[in-house]
Amino acid sequence: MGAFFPTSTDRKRGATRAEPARIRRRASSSCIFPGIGQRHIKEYRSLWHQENSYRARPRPHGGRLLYTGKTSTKILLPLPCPAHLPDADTGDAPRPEPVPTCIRRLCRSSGAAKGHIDGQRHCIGRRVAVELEGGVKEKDVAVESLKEGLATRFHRSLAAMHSARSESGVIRMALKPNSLSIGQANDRDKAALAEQAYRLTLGPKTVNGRSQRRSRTLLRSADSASTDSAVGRASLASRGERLWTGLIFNCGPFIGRCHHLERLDVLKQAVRQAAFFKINGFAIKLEGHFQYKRRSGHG
Amino acid sequence: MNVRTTPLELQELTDFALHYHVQLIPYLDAPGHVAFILKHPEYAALRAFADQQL
Repeated sequence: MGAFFPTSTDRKRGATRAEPARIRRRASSSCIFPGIGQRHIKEYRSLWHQENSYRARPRPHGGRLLYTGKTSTKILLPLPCPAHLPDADTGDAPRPEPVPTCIRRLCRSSGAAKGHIDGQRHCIGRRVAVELEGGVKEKDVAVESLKEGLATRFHRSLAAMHSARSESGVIRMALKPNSLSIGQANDRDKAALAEQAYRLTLGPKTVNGRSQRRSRTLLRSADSASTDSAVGRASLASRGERLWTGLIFNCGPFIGRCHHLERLDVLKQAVRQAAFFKINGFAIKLEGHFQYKRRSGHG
Repeated sequence: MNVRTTPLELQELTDFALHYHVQLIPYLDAPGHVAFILKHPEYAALRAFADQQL
């Protein structure tokens, strides 16, 4: 530890020591679960900085800085889930508490998404079959979105519809009332959350998207299925199960600058992108952008 | 170039958003920032002082 102790020049300047390489490596290394372990990395970093900084303490004789650093005894690491979880259940029976406690704790910051990943690879071939259940129609926007997502993102196409089987993989989309339980949630209106909830289950060659009743939720499920079902990010390409409990009103984007407005096609792209990210409200500023009707005779 | 959205275009955008279950929310500054509306003669009656030129 001698190399980490400050020099006399550092003490005079009151400077903070540079981070050791081991701290930088740990903070910048990619995590198994992107976004999940970042909080712990941050805590680890801030802990190091807290305990390894020079603090100026007021002294009656003034001026002298005191080094209060000490070796950290607390180490917080981005821990993956220690439990080995069984394969994702593709059955229809409702499961009241499907999320392991450790994963729920790690996902707490996101609030709405829960799930687990069993570490096995999930692979779907180039031509995917789709099964629609519970009154989902072929022309539903969710199915359209699924096609679009698979084609544009992963160059996959739908082989057949309605109970078709394919060796490349099957995506099932179903609307089933009372099939999802919300469980623990910050929002008290669980009925509203349940309306928007969907469960996405990734099997070895299957993707099951299930939502309660609304087509809107099914669309979100389809978007997620198209993202998760192919060669995407490492964590999402794994088998597992995720439950999106929804948000009652999730209004995120805002378009509007005082002297500039994008063209209509660009605005549509923005709306479509918002829908992909489970946004259900989109604010657009009209000041100076809207061409108000004028009565005849006025300039 | 300041592109202005016509009522038809805004309706088209609204329909497009609803197709994807997104609600389009018009955002207006109020009440002290609506001169861009009140400057039109047909809305002069809504001004604090109807004769005032904005």
